[in-house]
Amino acid sequence: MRASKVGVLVLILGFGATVETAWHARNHFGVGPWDWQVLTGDKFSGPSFQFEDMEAQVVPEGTPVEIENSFGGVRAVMGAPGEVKIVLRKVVYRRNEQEAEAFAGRLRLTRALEGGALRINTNRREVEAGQDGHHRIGFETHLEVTLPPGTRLKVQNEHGATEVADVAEARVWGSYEPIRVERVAGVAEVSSRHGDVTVADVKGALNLDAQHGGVDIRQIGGKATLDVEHGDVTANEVGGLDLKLRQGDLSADGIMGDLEVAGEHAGVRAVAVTGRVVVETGYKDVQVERVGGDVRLVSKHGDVRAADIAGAVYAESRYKDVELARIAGPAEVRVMHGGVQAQGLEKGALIRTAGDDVIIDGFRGGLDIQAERGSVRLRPSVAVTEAINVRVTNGGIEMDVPEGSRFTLDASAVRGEVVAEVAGFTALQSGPLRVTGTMGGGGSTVNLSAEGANVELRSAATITTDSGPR
Amino acid sequence: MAQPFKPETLVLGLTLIVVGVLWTLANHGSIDLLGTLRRWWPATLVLWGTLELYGSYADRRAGGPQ
Repeated sequence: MRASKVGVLVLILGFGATVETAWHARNHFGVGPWDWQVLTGDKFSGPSFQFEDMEAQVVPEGTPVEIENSFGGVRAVMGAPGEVKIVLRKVVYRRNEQEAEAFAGRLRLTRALEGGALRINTNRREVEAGQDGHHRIGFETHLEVTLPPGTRLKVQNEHGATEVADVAEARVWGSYEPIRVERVAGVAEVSSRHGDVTVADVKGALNLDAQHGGVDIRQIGGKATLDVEHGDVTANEVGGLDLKLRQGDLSADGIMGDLEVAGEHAGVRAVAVTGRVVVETGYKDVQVERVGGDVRLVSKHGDVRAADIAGAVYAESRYKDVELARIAGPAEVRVMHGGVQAQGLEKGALIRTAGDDVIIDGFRGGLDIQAERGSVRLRPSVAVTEAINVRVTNGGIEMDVPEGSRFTLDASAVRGEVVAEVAGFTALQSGPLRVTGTMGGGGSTVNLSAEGANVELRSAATITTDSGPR
Repeated sequence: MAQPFKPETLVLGLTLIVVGVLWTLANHGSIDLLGTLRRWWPATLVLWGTLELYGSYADRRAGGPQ
């Protein structure tokens, strides 16, 4: 290779290495607010200096206040009646205090009573429009506003944290920094992009939408309606929750009303819901406990668990299991590829499954079960007196018969056999493939049908937990 | 007699032109200079390699050095 080629190669590689190094240095450290802005684009670095202006505005009682700001925080709190106090804290990024003070002198508050509302802003846009494109000076405008009691407040703030407390109503829009809203006497509306949101102690309803940030709501007196994307949601003591959730998990404790969740890639865990629960989601688990009303839970590709439910339960999972415990109302379970484990079903169940076992340990009422590629084990918690219909393909059936049961049995097996070893059972037909007869003089029909394994009925005391049907 | 084709000279010249144009655009605020350079500088190697192959092919056709 000629020396000229080697030279050009070294030149190009050296150039590339320099560009890469500069790129990483820019991303990690920044270069500064002047001279290198064509490369960095970062005007919020280097030394900064703070300056404050304060103004006050007398307002009639009940005057709504609207605050608009960007690149700085907004904090609004309650103060004395009849007056709005505004503090503008200016942070200017310059090399020395003299230059910073000179620039800060150009920044000022704007406020106007228009249409019955007090509008508070700064002249940021005007100052930015007058800056040279290459040497933009970085500055932040932070507003601290003291409001009369009972103020209806609207805040729009970009690239700055927002805190609102003790207002009659709050409507807050923010981006790229956290939003915190507390102690609102009426309704609250919050919209956030790229920032966490906390809303607490709202007497009225809450409407909230958020993208790319966590949401924490607490002590909401009215119904909360949330639309959240790419963020987890925590809800405590909320007067009803209607949630659309994409790419995040819900953790709820204490919903005084109904809970409705429409989720995509969203997990749900809810405890202590006084009303009904409706959850439809996918790819994550759903778990609800202590619900006062009916429950409908659907998760594609996720486990579904429900415990201590006062009403009826509908549970559906496509590729995972369903677990139920202490269900006071009737239960309906549909699983495409998975099993069912249930305890304490007080009003029976309709179950359709495929791919795994159905184990019901403790139930009252009738059962209607169809299962494929899995066995069914039934252990009633009381004497069997209501109709039970179980049909299993490629699996067996095992049923415990408590004392005092009264039913008419029709049990059959294909590629298996029927075993009925129950004290007090009177057989009308007894063969290896089919057994019919009565228990306790007869009663409701118990139909047990299995293909590919045995059907076994035993007195309650003789069944052990480990012996599954084959 | 014509000078033999030198890909490195062409690459060096083109690189200088491209960097100059990008720097000018950056000074006018049209592009992010550093980001653009970082994204595209390896293309210089691709361009050079392509020209080397072309030069080798052209030399063979002309009966020049292999």
